Order: sequence, then C-alpha cells, then structure tokens
Amino acid sequence: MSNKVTISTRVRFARNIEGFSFADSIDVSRAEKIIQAVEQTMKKIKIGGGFELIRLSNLSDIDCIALVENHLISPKLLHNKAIGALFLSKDQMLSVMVNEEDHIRIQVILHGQKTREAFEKAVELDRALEDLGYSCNPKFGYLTSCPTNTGTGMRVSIMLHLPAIIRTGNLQKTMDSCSKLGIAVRGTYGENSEALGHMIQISNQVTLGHTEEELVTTVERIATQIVDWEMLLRKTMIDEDRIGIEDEVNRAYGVLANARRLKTKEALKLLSDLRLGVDLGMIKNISRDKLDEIQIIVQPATIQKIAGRTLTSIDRDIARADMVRDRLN
Amino acid sequence: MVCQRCSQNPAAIHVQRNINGKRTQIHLCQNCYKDLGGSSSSDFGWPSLLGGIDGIQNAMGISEAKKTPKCQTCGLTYENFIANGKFGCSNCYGEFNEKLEKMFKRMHGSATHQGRMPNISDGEKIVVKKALKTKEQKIAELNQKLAEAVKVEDYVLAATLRDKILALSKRGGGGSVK
Repeated sequence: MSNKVTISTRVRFARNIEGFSFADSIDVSRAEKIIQAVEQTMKKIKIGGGFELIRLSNLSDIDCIALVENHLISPKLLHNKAIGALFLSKDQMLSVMVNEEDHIRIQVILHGQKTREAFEKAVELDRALEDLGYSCNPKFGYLTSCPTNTGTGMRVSIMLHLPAIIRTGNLQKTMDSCSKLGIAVRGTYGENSEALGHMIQISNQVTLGHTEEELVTTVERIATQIVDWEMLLRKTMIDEDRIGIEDEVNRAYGVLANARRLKTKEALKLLSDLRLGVDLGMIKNISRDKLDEIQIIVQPATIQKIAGRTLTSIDRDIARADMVRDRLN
Repeated sequence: MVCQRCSQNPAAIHVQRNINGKRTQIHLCQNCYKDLGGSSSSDFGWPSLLGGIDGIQNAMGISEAKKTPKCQTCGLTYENFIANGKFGCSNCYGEFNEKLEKMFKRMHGSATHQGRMPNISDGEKIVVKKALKTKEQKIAELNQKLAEAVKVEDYVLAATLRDKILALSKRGGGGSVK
C-alpha cells in the first residue's frame, strides 16, 4: 500500500545459536566465535547485493551513534560495542546485528508500507542463517534472551508521520486503542524514545501464540486504520484553517531554507511541518526522498560523521543549518 | 491461632499439603481463604489456592514448598530472571519451564508457539502439533482427576497428581530441535 503517512516498514527476527550463553552473559572469545560463524554463512548469501561486516569495536563512538540514527543498529548494540557486529547489505535494506541482546537480529527496512515484502525478505535471510543451529523448541518456538520476544522472535514495525493526530491531541487515544489490540506504540528510536518530528512506530506487542502471517496482517491492518484516521484529520484541519496550515508550512520552509543555526529537535519539528506541506501539495518542488535524506542528516552524530570531525553543540547547529540550506536551495 | 496471611483474624481453615512426602499445614481466616480462590463449597479452584498458599509460604520464608529453580547450564536463578527480565541461555527455558507457562500466558495471551520453525517441513509441523496436543490432553485429564480428588478431600492423591502434572509440563520445555 502506498500512502503519504507511512515512512518505512521494518521486520526483525531475534535468533540465538544453540550451545552459547545469550549475548548479555557471553564472554568475549565465545562472542567472537559467533561473529565468525555468522560471517562464514553471510559470505554465501547473495541477496541484497552481498554483505559488509562492520565490527563496532573498529568504529568511533560518533560512527556507532550515526548507525543508530540511520536505524541500522539498535541503541542496545552500542551497549555491547566490544562484541557487537553488523552485517549490512549493499543496498542497506538488509542487516544482521550480531551479539545484541540476542546472538542474531535479522532486520529488513523498506521505504513505505511494505510489510509482506519486508517479511518475505527477512524469511529468506533467516532460512540462509538457520543452518547455524538456532535455539528453539516446539512449545516455545525461537528461544530469545527476553521473554517478550519468545516464539516467533518477530517484530514488525511501521513508522508513521502523524502531525494531524498529534496536533489535535489524539496520540494518547491512538496509543490506548493500539494497546487494546496488542500493538505497541513507540517513539522514533524504539522503546522509551520521543515522538520526534511527529514520527511514531507501531509494532506487534506479542510474539508467541500467533503465526508470523497473523502478526504481519494485524500490524498492517492497524497501521492502515491509523493512516486513514490521520488523513481524515488532515482534511479536517485544512477545511477548518487552510491559511493557518499554509502559513505554518511556509514558515517552516522559510526557516529551514534560510536559518544559520538549527537545533535537532527544532529541525525535526520544522521538517514535519514541511513534510505535511509536501503531502498536502502546498509545496511542490521538494520530493519525499529529499525530506527522508534531510531527516537523517540533521541527527547529531550523522552531522559529525559527514563533517569528519567532532563538533561542539553550537558548531553542530551551524553545520546542520548549512546542510539543510544546501539541500533545500 | 491467627491467620498466617493477614495475621489479624482467627484462622478458621486449615489446609494440609503433602509435597514430595513432606506434610505442611497452612492456617487461614475465611476472608483470606476466599481471596486465594477458596469458596464455602468444596469445589474451590485448587490450583489457584495452591498458588496463593505458595506465595504466602514463600513470603513467610517457608521455602520447602517451592525452591527457586536455578539453570544448571548458566547458573541463572529464577529470582534473577524475574529481577532482570532476561534469560541467561536457552536451557533456562527448560529449567524454569513450569513457571513460564503462566508468565507467557499473561505476557502474550498464549504459551504455545504457532509460528515457523527451522528446517521443518509443513508435514513435520503437523506431527509436532499433534504430539503437543496429546500431552495437553493428558494434562487436562490429570487436572480433572485432581479436581475430583480435592472434592473428596484426598489431598495425598491430589499432591501426587499435581506432581505428575508438573513433571509432564516440564517435559515440554528446553533443548533444541536441532
């Protein structure tokens, strides 16, 4: 389904290799064995254009955090930096985190709402890796470090841009409804994170007792309902105060295209307004791809990664404004 | 004698239990007895009452009723698992099996995997499901016998049946398919 509200779809499988302690209680040499075993298998996998091995211990802190900002690794993998690794496909859509909370975290991220496609790619990768000997049993399915992932080990997440729902004070209502249907609502960077730039993620809360297909269908269905509601509220907002919305959108555009200093949260809030303007056809000359690119580069660590050096907070704000101006003019 | 749960009201109900041949007694007032799932008739919910009594005994430090399980592979105790919310290794699932069913039902609404498995064809999946069903049916039958034993106040038989149910449940967890 193609819509203007869904930013991306992510499917991840949590897997562990039998015969090893889970990653939070594993020693360094055993953790290294897991990386090597996964590497041997990953070499044979051709999907996604092949994979590159990135050991977190070889990266600077800034580069590691930039991977989190790009949603390529979880914040949790940073805690296991000494033993953590990432296999990233050339097209950056497929990845395998090693020694996060679980030995293996298969992840597929696609633009837009493509749950089925993401699921199928994740299964393909899973099938290729399962010869490593996954921990599982017929009763509880895939055995994971955290009981909240036991069973399918699968989390289907859809990132949604919900300016109308949040502006009209309906986020809590959305969260409550989702919760009753077994759907978790989280901020941009997973658990306990804020809904920065009016972005939220919805995902399946339960992982045990349902087939993967059932879970995919449920998350897809709820996402579609939220998208429909967001579109309805956008229409109501326009009907009630079109000039007011156009004013906000153009002010956001004006600030982003001209500011000399921009803070992260400010930039994300203005980008949300601008994205709304693009979606509503009020701004014609900016593509959604451009907005997606800016959304990533305004993040603090990504700016420093692009700059190639550590920047102070004020220098970052200047660099952020420069980069955004450059891309909008 | 006062109630061992609330320490206020006089104990009116005296429940005897036989665990692995060791007799224990717990004394409850009418209110606490009802709170724990007992009723004025004899067909009370025995499993929930046992759960409640175990809770009291644990709180009182009477640990013979239920020792905290410990994973023989990674050394994680059930208490630590509850405190941290993380298993230490895949064998913890087998070691804590009898306690996990309830937790998973609360957490996921189910304690039985329905999804994919590695390297197993669709035909084999059906066989696995059938095997599970047979075991669940056995447990259901034993539960029925347990209820009957409780009804006629044969607590020795009830305890034996309860141990059988626990042993049968335990057999389902742990280990790898591979």
